[in-house]
Amino acid sequence: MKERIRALLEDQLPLVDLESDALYQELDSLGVTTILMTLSDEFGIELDSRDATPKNLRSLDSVVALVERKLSEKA
Amino acid sequence: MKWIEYVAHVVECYPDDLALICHGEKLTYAQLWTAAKTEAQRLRETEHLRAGQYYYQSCTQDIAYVVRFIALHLIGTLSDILYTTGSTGKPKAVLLSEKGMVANAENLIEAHGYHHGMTFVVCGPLDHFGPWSKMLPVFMTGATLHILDGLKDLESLFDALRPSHSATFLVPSAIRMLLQLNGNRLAALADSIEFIETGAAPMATVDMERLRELLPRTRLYNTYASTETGIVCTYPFHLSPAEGREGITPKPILHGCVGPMMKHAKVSIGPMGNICVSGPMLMAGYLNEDGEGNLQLDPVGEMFETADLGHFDDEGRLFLTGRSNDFINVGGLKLSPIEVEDAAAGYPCIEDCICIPEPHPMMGQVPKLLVTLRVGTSFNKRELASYLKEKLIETWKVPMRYEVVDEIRKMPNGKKNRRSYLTSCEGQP
Repeated sequence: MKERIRALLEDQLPLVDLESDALYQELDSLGVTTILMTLSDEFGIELDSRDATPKNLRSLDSVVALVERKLSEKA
Repeated sequence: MKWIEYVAHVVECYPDDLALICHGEKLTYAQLWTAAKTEAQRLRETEHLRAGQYYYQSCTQDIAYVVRFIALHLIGTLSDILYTTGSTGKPKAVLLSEKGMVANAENLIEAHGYHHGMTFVVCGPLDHFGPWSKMLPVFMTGATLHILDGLKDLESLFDALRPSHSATFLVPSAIRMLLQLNGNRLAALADSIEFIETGAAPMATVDMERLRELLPRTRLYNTYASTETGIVCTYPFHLSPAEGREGITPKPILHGCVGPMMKHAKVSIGPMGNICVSGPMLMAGYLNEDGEGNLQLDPVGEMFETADLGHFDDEGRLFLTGRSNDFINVGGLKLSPIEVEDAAAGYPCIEDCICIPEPHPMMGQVPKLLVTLRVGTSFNKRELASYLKEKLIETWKVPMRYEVVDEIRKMPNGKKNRRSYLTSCEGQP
């Protein structure tokens, strides 16, 4: 899951360091939107601006946790 | 009457009303005026600033920026200068006169209905003409300006739009972002948002229709404007469908009358299809450096020929059809591909390159860089992107896509054949 998300986001956001623990700080509005839309499309989950919190987008691990949480809510 | 004199009148009328909100701070008109007078005094005494002198102010997107803007006008600003994208990749300094400021403010007040008691939410950078120009009618009418630092935190935008009589300007890509991810949240604000203005890039008809559905009681405007031309015309798309076409109509607004149906036509189409604009809202001209580094004005004249291509339909509506230069429109921001190519040329493994627009579902267009590599070298996309970020400073200018090609297509005179790469982006000025 983590590597799949990493590959997706690396392709969409070449400027963003996905290893960072301050991922949210690195993102601009397009970056945040790109992450939400890319993950929504790829995993068939619903994400909106309420999910784009500094906590949820702190690192790649927290993004993975967000996706897993949404998938389990959907199931 | 000068713009600052209108503001002084507003301060007299509504001293205790809210003028400015930013980062949780609030200033009434009386507080804003006092702060501006204090700043004006500081500028005179410590920086020896006098009316008519140049003063460079970098945009900080906060209350201090607005206070200093008003302070400079209290000292006696004759003109404001904004830097805009130049077709050669070097920014151009656009001189906006006092007369133009008032004309642009009056255009917006009359066309969109700014009034005392409303709150206008600014999301974009205040040193860009779109957001900058909104300060003018807000403080002329006694409205409230709510400054946001971009759209990264959409919750802040929703909070800012929650009070009744709120309004904002959003580029089409931002509207699409809201519609795609937060349509229901936007609909919940239907009774509080008085109007939304958009512009700077083509807006898809489907997005216009969706916005009308979600906000049935909100006035919606698509405006044609630029730093050079000022506010020219606006299309109230809440009143009627866009009839399946992407464009704008020339609603006749003060100082921005458009089309042959008007008594004093201010917009015409040039012989090559370019939109030509005249009126008091035009810039005074470009400021250029002479050989000794002094700034001198290259005046605009009566008519300004834009790089926008357009035509009038039988009903006198103006439609944008493209641009006659090679700018890439990144969500409403104009990018010269030459600026990107110049930056990339210094990267060690790149032999040649061309920056072209690529369609993007959210931004309309994003830059893509095609490169040829020196023999025996390879490149890493992320390293090149980081290198370009250092050179170009602003993230939105850095290409999102990269592709290694065998050659860069050239014309017989050796120039890059940009047109040959544009097929997939036709219709996206």
